[in-house]
Amino acid sequence: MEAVFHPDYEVPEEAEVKLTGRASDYVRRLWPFFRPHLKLIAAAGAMLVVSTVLGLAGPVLMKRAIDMNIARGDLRGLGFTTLVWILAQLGVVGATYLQNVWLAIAGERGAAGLKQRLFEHALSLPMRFFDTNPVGRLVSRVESDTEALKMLFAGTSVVLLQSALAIIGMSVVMVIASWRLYLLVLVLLPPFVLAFRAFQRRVRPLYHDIRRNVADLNSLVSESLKGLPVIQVFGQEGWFARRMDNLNRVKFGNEMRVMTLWYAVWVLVDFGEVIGIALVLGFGSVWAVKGMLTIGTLFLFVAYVTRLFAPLRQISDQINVMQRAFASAERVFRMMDEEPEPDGGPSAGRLRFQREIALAGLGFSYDGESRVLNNVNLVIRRGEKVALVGETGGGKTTIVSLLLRFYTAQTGTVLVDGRPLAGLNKHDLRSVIGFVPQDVMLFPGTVLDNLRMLDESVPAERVMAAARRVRVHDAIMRFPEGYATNLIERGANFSLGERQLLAFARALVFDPDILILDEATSSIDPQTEQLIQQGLEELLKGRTAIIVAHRLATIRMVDRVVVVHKGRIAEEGTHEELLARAGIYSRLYRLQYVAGNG
Amino acid sequence: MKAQRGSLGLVYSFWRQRPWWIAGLVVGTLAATAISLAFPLVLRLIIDGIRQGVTPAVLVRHVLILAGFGLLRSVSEGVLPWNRGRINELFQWKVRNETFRHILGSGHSFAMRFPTGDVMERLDHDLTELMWFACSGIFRFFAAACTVVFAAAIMLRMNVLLTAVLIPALGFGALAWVRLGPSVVRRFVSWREKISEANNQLEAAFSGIRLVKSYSMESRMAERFRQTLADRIRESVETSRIQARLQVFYMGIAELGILLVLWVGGTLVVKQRLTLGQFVAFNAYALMFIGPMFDLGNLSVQGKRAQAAAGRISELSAHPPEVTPPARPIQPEPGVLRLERVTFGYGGRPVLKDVTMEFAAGRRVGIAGTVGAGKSTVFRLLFRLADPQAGKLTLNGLDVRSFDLAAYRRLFGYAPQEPMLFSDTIRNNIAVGREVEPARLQRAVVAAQLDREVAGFDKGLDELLGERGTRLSGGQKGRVAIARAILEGPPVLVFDDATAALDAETERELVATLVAQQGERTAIVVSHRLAVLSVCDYIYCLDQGEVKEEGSPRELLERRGLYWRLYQRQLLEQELETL
Repeated sequence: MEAVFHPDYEVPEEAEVKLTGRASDYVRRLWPFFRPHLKLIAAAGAMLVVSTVLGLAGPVLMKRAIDMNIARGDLRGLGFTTLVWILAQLGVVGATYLQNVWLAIAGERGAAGLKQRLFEHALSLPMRFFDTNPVGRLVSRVESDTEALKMLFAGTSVVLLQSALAIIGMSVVMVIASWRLYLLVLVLLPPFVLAFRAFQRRVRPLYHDIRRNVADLNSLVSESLKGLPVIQVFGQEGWFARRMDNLNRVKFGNEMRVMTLWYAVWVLVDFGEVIGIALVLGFGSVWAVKGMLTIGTLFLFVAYVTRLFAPLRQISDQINVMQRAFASAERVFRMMDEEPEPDGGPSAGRLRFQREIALAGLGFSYDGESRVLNNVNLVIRRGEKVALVGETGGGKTTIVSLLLRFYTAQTGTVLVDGRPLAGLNKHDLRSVIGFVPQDVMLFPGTVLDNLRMLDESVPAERVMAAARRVRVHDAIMRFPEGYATNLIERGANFSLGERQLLAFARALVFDPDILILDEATSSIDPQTEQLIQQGLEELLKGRTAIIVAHRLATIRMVDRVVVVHKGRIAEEGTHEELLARAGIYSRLYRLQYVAGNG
Repeated sequence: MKAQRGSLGLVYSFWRQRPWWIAGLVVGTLAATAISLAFPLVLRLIIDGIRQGVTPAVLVRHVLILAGFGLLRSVSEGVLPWNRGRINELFQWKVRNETFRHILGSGHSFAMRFPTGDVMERLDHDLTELMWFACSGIFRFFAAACTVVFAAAIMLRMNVLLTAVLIPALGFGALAWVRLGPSVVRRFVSWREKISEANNQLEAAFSGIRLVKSYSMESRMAERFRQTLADRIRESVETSRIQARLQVFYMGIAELGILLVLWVGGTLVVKQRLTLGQFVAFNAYALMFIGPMFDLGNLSVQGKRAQAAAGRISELSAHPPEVTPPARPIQPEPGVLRLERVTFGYGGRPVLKDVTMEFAAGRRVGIAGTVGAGKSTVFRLLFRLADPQAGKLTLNGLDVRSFDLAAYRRLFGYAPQEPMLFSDTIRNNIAVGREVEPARLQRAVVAAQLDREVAGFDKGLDELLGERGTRLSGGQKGRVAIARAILEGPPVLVFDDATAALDAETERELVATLVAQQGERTAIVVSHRLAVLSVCDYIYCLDQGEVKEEGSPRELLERRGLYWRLYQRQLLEQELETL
């Protein structure tokens, strides 16, 4: 049983959640997810009743065999009892099997429904939500918290029902068999129930401490790995080894405290059983000799007393599980209650972009305090290609994000053909835009899936044509499965440059009117560089483009360069014009291409 | 994930050093087995006593004996597993300490091979898996074997026929688990794979949310997730099914045993070839077999998992250390350090090419260069965190590989670019385990201009830093790192751009003051601000792993080469700041 001591270490949470609702509120909100599987749950419940009740039959039949058959030398009767036993056990086994499987199905489906709903909701949330919630936390919300809720429906409820039924059933049988002996047993129960509760109360903070100890151990490992040069230069390997030893000692102490408590309860329960059996046998055997009860009844009591404590414990354990499930429910519903990103009106089909995009007096701040954009005015005509340049943190990426309607500007508007962005359906808008972010994002799946963004209405031929145009087709075909190749670990089977080209091909597949490109900053070898520039030229043909540009070659391709400096538009013009002006651009240019790089 | 043969060596060496623990556990297990096996025998006495109509006094005596054994059993059922659990934990403690100690001697190649998360995973989950096997797994197997053997012996003495019927039926259970176990594990693994597939999708969707939104692929992502969940439900239900089947199997075996006792035993009682007491005792022994059967079969399954876990932990300790200390170490004296035509690279990619540099006592040497020029690697070699692949590093003309490693490294005071603070007090972050007088620590704090901040904290130097304590600003962190570097007045002080977070003026002043205090000792300064480097009297200009220029700051500026271009670049940056 030693393995029981390892509490499941959770993903670190932001903080302990405070429950805002009552248990019934959580159950009511969860119910719709499990109601579709009500039939299955009910059937499993029925099986549970069958298996629990039939499970109690064993000792009763044994009593019958001892008292009625064996004592009287009735071999035929014994055969009959055995037969009944076989049937009862077949019933128990069959019902247990069905109950387990049906509950697993119902629980899994219910949890999957919850996961699905939560995931869909998460995807609809505004970008702000993703800025403040790290990915790990969101994953754990959709995965671990829903699993905890599954336990509530398919685990806890069952265990509680089963335990209660077992206790009641055994009590009934015992009272009928001998109420005197039952009274003896009954006296034992309250102290044990209290002992279980006391154990729970003391052990819970210890589990919390152990979780913390493990977190401390992990952060020591991670800090040490990061700070290894410092540790080694200062010759402090010994000191760090001692720190590790101390943390291990503290954790060991806590683990042992839990373990000692746990075994104390274990021994106590065992004591309880022994005392119960001794009481039953002590009084019972004397009564049996006097003929007040039979040996079979004695056997029945001995068998039931040993089974009585397990359900009591189970009930007490489940109270903890329930509390944790409610904490999960709280977190899940907080996320569900987040307001989704507005659609911006009903869809009217793919937007028809005709004249221009205008940024009028845009002002924006992520946190409501420091301004990232200040009165940005810019008009981009259809077919025009514009490069945004400037220092990191100047506001280029923010402009791009506002164009894609990831955020809403606090002041000013973005107008597409004179219509404000906020009034356009977001999908209509985004369907005319091809976005290539700075880091190429490839998701798990095949190359084909990645290039057509899971849209199966896009024919494979179109995808291949796009890949050919940006010259990444050959790179894909070098894998035996070609476009059906699975991308491992975010496309680790493709080189950095190839991944960039894949991103271009992806944008090309959807033939967008407007291209928004956040150019990668990482340096690549000149040969790949050239491939990428050719790919980009292909991609830009006949499109309106807004490029956050880092490469000179890219800047040479555009019609107009816009310098974004400290949240405003500082300069505009062609590369040559801006250079001649000897302002910010000329300095940026010199910084990047003249000085420094040897 | 490749499990190496003999990788349970960790477990073996643990026990080899502790023969007395083995003896204790063996004796304890035997005692516990004896106690629990005695229980049904006393039960038999009572039942047969009732049948024979013995006096209440005799019965009560038997019951008291039974209670006595019962209490002993309870205690042994607590004490023995408690001890096993304790040894599990001690094993975990020892192995984690030893592995960590090894990691502390490792270096860059270790970090490249094992990402931090991976190391944590191995030292946490893998070790937990292994530790259970190390003691509990082994000795539960032993206890199970004892129970089975001795119970079988007692039963044979009571009735040969009934035993001959019962044992093979139950033994079948253990064999079946040995065969079924691996398929259960396989199922379990493929179910886990589906779970991680779903989680990978979640992670990809959330981390790529901008792309998901811009391509309006929310509904398609959701659809894909639905398919994965459907697969996952199938796998999960299959796993539950096989588990339920296994449970049915075990319940069936248990019931089969009782059934045999009931029918065969009952008949024997009727025919008076078995007493009713023996009948009840048989029933108790049959029940006693179930758990051990599982433990016996389980060992092989657990053993495989433990072996895989042990392999993963051993891989960490098997990684060779970055540098090897000399067999006969010489004590180093401060003096002239020279890199002589040194070449160094990672995985075939050269980072330093044929670099020669000299750091003499009393000199202030600067290193300038663009990002990725190889500056940090120069330090890595200088501190002997790694050895050059060609050329050599000498101190007073002797190859540094001949010096006592710890003593050699103690020549340096190092303030790194990334301050590398630990979740501990400010005091411990400065002292990092070194014994220092408080006055000396205070002097370092003042010299690093940290005294005013420290005075502002509630607990002063004992203020806790990190996640559960105060978060320092970048500039403050840098100054803690500086206090750490200058604490013992090292013969060679190294500033690797440690004060970059300070404003230019403050940084220059601070570095100038600290460097001046070095006196006849050496100072090495790296800074991306060339104004800071002007406190040096000699500068090496690195570019793409090569020393392109060297000389005094003035000479370098007059040469209008790389250093001058870097200087121009900085002027431009400053101009942009003001525009």
